[in-house]
Amino acid sequence: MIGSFGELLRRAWRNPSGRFGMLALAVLALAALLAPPLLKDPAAMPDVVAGATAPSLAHPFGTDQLNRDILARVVNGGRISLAVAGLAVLLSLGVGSLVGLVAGYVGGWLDAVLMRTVDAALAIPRLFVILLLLVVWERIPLGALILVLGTTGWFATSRLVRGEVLRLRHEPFVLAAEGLGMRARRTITRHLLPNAAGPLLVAATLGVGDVILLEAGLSFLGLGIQPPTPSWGGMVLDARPLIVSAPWTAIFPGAAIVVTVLSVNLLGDALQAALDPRSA
Amino acid sequence: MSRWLLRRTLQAIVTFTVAVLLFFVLLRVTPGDPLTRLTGDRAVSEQELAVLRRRFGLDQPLATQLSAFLSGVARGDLGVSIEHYPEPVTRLLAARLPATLLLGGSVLLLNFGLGTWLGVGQAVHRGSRRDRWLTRLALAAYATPSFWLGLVLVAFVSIRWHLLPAAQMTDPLLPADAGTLTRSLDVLRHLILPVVTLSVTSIALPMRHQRAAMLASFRLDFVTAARARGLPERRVRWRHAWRTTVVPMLTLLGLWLPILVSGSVFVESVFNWPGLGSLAAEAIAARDYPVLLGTAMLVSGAVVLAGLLADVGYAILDPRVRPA
Amino acid sequence: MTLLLEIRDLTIRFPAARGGTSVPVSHVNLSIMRGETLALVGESGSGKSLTGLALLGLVPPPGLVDPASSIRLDDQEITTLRGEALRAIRGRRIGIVFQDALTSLTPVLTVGSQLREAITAHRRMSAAAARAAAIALLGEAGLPDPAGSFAAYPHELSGGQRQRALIAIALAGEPDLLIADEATTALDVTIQAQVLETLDRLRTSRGMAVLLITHDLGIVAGRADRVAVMYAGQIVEEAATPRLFAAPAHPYTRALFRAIPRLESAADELTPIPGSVPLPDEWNPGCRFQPRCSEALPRCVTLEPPVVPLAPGENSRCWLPARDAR
Repeated sequence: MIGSFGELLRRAWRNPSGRFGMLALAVLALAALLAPPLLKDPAAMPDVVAGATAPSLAHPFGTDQLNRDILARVVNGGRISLAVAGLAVLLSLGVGSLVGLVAGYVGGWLDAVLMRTVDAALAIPRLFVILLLLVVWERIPLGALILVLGTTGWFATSRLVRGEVLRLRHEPFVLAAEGLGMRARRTITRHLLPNAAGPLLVAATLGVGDVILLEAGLSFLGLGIQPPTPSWGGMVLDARPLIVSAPWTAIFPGAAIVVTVLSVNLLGDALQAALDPRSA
Repeated sequence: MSRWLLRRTLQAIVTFTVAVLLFFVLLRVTPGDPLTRLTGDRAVSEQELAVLRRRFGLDQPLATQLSAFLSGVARGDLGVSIEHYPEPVTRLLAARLPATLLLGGSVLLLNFGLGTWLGVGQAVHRGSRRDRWLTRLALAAYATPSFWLGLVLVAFVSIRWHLLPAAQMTDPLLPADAGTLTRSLDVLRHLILPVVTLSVTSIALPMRHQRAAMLASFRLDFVTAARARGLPERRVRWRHAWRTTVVPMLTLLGLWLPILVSGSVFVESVFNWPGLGSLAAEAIAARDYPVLLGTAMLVSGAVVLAGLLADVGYAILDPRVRPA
Repeated sequence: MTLLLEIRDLTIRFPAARGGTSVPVSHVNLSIMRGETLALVGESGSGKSLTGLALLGLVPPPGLVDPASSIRLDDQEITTLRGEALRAIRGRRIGIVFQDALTSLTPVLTVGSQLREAITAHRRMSAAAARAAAIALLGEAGLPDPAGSFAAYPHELSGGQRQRALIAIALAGEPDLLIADEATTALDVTIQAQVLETLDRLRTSRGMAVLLITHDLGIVAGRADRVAVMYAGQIVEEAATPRLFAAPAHPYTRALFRAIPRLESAADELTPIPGSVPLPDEWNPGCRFQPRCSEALPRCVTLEPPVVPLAPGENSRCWLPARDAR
């Protein structure tokens, strides 16, 4: 059993993949926080005449069709994507844990109904639910996007938490405590968090990767982060007509997605391996 | 066996019904006027509005609306498209289904086959450089947005290097009297890039599942026992160890399918592949709600069905699980 | 009798969880003659199963056999064999029957197909001939419905039937030596007796040697020619069966006998051996049995006891002078 959160991170660090993930994410996070004042203004006057220019010293990632610096847009897009993903995952975690707790504690018909619903919900591809919820808006508010992303991703978490509650419920020491007069629920609660924290952390980390990909896809379809706010998916969408003549306009935003999601997944994997070495 | 089959099928129907209920909830919860959602920005006569209101029970109590909705789905009536008015949604879906089946089926086969081979290889050489790098590559591929990969492939393989067609399922310039072989090869050429795109971005899952399943299998006693009999290692690996993982792998089909389906929305859109995914993308652009809803329901039904088939397959293939 | 198998100085090492190594089998010497039955007796944790596995090169990783160890089968060194050469030994020269037939048989294949595969692994024959041979073998192993068992899946057979099937499979290659690793431990006592009878019958009809690995002294009497007693990775006593039962030389062996309930004994209580089998990191520098030994001398703690020969093929690893009970 992992004694502490720190121990978990330390073990993940020892794993070379995990280390890469953590470092890459640290770099991204730093860039997202510190870079904006240092970069060229991404909302600078669009210049259609100059158009897209290839990478150069002045513009390391080149410029897009409106002659905006792509590096700046990638970094800014990153801030927003990461923020959206983080908030959405937190929401999912909250809702999922709540539902899982209720289902596990209360049991009975409520548990059955909830779990049947979760099963059915898992059969519906998440993307379609999101599409159906977002397509009614002309311009999707950022809050709505986060809300939709968050409320469509809690199903697996609820199963996880419920499973943990049920497992604990049948542990001998809980029954023993009950025999001594303590309420089972209190005992379970005390032991729930340390036991579930690890798997929840892994699920959250991997969940961030999924949401980043989803949000990028939505932006590509025009249903995600709305222009002129930069988003990686939106940048790829804009780059579509230029893909042959100015490939850098699509390559850098895409690469940013790959690196970010990969780092997050590597970290999640390393955490998973730290929790259960046999799965490595 | 047949009693279990009946029970399991009933279970699947219940799951699908709950899913349909969820869709109904979705409809009511989504902000905006349902009527506008159904008519879009088409100019609609009062008469039509009245018909729609009655059809969907929009001025009726909730219970009536629900029953109207459910009975509609049961009848196979998923409404009418806005964009292609008055084309019934079901007809649109039916027309686009085969292309998606072709694409999805090919990707499934490829992923299962390749994923198995790579995953088993990883398990056998666990901890080796090959093992570690395959995992990293697979994760990198999984992190790649399918729409981006598709665009990049089109840009280079199709447009720059003229190796494969850039879009659609068939060549519009194919002569009308072209034989079946020519037609088939034509479709095959068009199939390659979309399949590669979708497959690459989703192969990490079957690979990793197969690897884990093989590692678990290797630890079991009967594998050592098989070696003790002097059986060649290859035989032990495939006929004894791997064979025991096939059935659990099947049950993961239900897990892969939603991911494949979501990916196909982007891939079909980028490659203009005339399937359900691109239909959904078009519906988004045109705000064609009935079509989007219909597609979502069809896809969910497919996932539930796939889960049922996987369980049935499990029962048929694993002798231990043959229920009474 | 000719010498079939000679084990010299067999030592097996495992890297321990927190660094360092544990040595579950150390400096084991054993010989088995053609056609004889040698019982290897010990509690769980004594290293007897690992010894059996080592004969087939099946020590589970990360365990390793010490390069100085030697196992000679018909004067051929087999510890250095790899690949095809090793495969030729497994099943064909040495066969093994494991304790739990349910986990030792591949669940998704029928008994028959696994048996047939074991037969054709070492002999070329047509599918039909292999099937016939398999069914014959199943009958020989005492299965009442050989054809039915052939088509059955492992979980469809009863425990005793499964064990017989396992024996049939072990005999498929017609080995010279059969290792029975707690082969009947998981069975009911009555079934156990029947299966042991079958094993005996097959042994004599084939002139096979048997290495009977067990913790149960009861099944040794009348079935084994010689007995080797193992404790904490070492052979502590070796003797012909009658002598061992009549006058056990090593304190551990004596304690084992005292712990067996006897119908004719007047005692109300069993005398179990106090304590439990020590883990490798708890071993004495001297005698490993000393902490539980009621006859220990002060020197037993720190000085390794010698292997004292008592008669040809008989010895005891102990400081106590050999007692002649004849």
